[in-house]
Amino acid sequence: MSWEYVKGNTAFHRLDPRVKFLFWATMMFLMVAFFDPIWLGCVLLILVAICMWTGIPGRAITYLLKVSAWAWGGYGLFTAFSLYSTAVHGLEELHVLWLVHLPWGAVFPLTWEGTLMGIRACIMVWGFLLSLRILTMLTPLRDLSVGFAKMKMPPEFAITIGLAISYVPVLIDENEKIQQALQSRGWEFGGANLWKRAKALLSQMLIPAIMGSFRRARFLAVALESRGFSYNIAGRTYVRELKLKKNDYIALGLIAAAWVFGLYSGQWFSKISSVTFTINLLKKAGIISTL
Amino acid sequence: MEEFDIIIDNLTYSYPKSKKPALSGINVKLKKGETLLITGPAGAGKTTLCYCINGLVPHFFGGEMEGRVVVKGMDTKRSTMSTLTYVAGTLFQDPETQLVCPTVYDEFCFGAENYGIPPEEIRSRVDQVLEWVRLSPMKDRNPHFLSGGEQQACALGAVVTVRPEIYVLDEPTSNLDPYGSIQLFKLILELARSEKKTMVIIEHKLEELATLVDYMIVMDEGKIVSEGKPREVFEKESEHMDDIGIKPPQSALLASKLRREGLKIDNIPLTLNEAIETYSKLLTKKKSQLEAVSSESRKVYEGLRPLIEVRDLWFTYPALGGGEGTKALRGIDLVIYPGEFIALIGQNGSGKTTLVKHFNGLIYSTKGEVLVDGISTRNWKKSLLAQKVGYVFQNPDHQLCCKTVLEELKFGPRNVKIPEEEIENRVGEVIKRLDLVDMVNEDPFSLSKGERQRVAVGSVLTMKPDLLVVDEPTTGQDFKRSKYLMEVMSELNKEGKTVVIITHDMNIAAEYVERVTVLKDGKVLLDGSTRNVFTQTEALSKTYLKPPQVTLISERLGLPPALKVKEMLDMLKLQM
Repeated sequence: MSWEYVKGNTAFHRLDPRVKFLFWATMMFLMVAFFDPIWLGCVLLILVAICMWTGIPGRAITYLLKVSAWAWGGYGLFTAFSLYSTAVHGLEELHVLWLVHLPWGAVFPLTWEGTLMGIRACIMVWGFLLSLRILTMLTPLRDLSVGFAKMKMPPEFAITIGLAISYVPVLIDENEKIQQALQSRGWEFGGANLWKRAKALLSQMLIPAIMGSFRRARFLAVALESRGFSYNIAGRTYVRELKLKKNDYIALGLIAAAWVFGLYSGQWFSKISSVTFTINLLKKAGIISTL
Repeated sequence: MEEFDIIIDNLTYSYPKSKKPALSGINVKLKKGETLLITGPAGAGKTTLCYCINGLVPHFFGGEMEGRVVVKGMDTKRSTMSTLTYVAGTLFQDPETQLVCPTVYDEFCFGAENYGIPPEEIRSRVDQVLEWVRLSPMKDRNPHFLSGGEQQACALGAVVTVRPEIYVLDEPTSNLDPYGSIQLFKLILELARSEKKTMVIIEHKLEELATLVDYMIVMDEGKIVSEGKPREVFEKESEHMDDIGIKPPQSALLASKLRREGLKIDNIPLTLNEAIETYSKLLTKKKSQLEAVSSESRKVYEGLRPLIEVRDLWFTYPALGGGEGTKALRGIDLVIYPGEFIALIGQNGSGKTTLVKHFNGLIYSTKGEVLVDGISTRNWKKSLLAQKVGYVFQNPDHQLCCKTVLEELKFGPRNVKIPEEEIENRVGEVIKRLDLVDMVNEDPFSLSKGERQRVAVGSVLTMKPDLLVVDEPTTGQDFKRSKYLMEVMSELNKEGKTVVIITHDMNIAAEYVERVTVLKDGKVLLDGSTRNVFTQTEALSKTYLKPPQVTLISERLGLPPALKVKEMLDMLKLQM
């Protein structure tokens, strides 16, 4: 039930759901635009500050990071060790941090650039997760789907998204039940071997989960039909009304500024926020020297 | 000619790809403001009949339909489904599957918004209906996380705000405890009377509804086998109903059995008061002469080493969205001895499932502990505990995960590395016991719900647990299937297995188990032999539970307490 709305009355809580959605999109954009861990770290700090301000409990965040550790950890490590990621960004100059001696005699260089890109990858995934979390925990879901409808999306689409979002906690809950049911039949979910774990997860948990979803989808279709969803979609009324207030306009201004700044300093134009930013700082501090 | 709200004229219907018709030769006529109860065993075609009224058949499901269904003057074949559902609001069996919105409030608005009712009007209706179904305090919650009873009230409320002329309610109380069911029936019938709405209700709970509805239909294998005013139907059919797997009110069943014994009973009693009046005339012998009938030899367990020991158990579900969390258990003490057969009963949300999940280490206490064989569950290796305590989940679909039934049965023992030869033996035994021979190579998800539940039980039995915990084995099952599962459980218990069931069905508990533990608000309210617990009517009423009708009848007549119809029958036969 960790997706339930966090109550509160901060200026952020009071924002229009559409503005909150744009805020989320902006954060995602900045995460993609910036390539330097320090720059991204600043974006992350903003997100953390919002969590603290709005009262999202710290344990919700740590839980999120814990369960997604395989994703951000794996992605971070892969990026750090992959020469591809540095090559693709056209970093001509690489600085070796550590030479890894592989058992069969080969030597593999771990570079400063790769490491920083790895850290960046981790921060980026955290940022994705955290900003989505902020969106879902600080926006009553009903507002979000009405928000979509008011953004001139077709009602079918808006309601489908609303439905999908409101089903997320249900699916999480269902998965927990399935996991418990399997556990009670002697199935070990844990275990040190990551590969075995992933395989077990795929083969055993997916079947009940997918079958459950199919059945649910069918029932859902029946439920929607029998409640008049297709009666006259164009003539549908909405009980909840949305109006932009002063706060929303201020927030929209900030969001626009963030887009301009992100576009300018990001990877497409000036590239100030590329990984060389930190490398240069490290050089100035004398921590790394040119080969 | 009088206007009919619903006319079903010689209706025969088959689902696509199905050879056997789901309905054949159905005729029903219902006037405005009348209430109709439809009952019958699983697979009788009750739900399909509902689908025919609101147009899901044939518009959504397709298939072949003969005959005519006219709803408020509209032929369902020629009208669109959404027009039909506007007139005939439908509440489906499983409320969870029809809740589509993120909050209760939105759920109530959804239908009305779809039909383009002005927002002002919807708001006022919703406020009214929220009060009526008592969900105002929960209007901002996600309906998926309400209790079963609240979900059912929410789903009903969502239909009511559209204000249809006809209500089609498919087992509206399937997830409710006895008190919740009665409350909901009262709400529904209040609506029928005050606003003159036409009601079609599918239900198994005949005891509660028998005297409240105008007409009644008994269905079996797609046909109507009996119809008329409830009293007429029970007069003719009580015993036959019992045979085809429908549970008539115990008072009526008793009367028809007495009639067969040659006793003269003028009118079949349907309510407790009628039963008292009828049966008190038969009493000639003193209570003391009857004691022998209902006395039983209780096995003695004290002194044995307990299988489960629950010591001052507290459990709180954490709340991540802020707030305190829900205290589900508040200091439970309980001892279960090997060989016992126990029913855990209590209202929705009283902590029954949370308690049993501690037995096999699925969750661990916030405070206090649970010992299995004298060792705290925290110190048990999970795979070993799974062989000690088997737990069958309420919803079999959460438990099944393999491609065939055979694989399913082998899954558990393989997980805990039982030798293949031993697994074969166990599986063979379980297949025989649960009569799974015909389906071993089937995909478990292609089976009916009753069959899936049997497979789920089987998949736990192959683990050969000492304690078998079954969560609501009878929910959503008709009487016949419930009985079958209970017979299996009873047999296992006789062979020495300890069995704990969670149930809302007091008649089932009275019929089969020897000990009943009643939970209320996360505490043990009553615990003792079934007879002992069910005669404490007053204490039970605190948790809104009602003992079986025959127990109440025997009590009111001043007889020794009877738990089963047969016991009562024996006592009354002695009077002859």
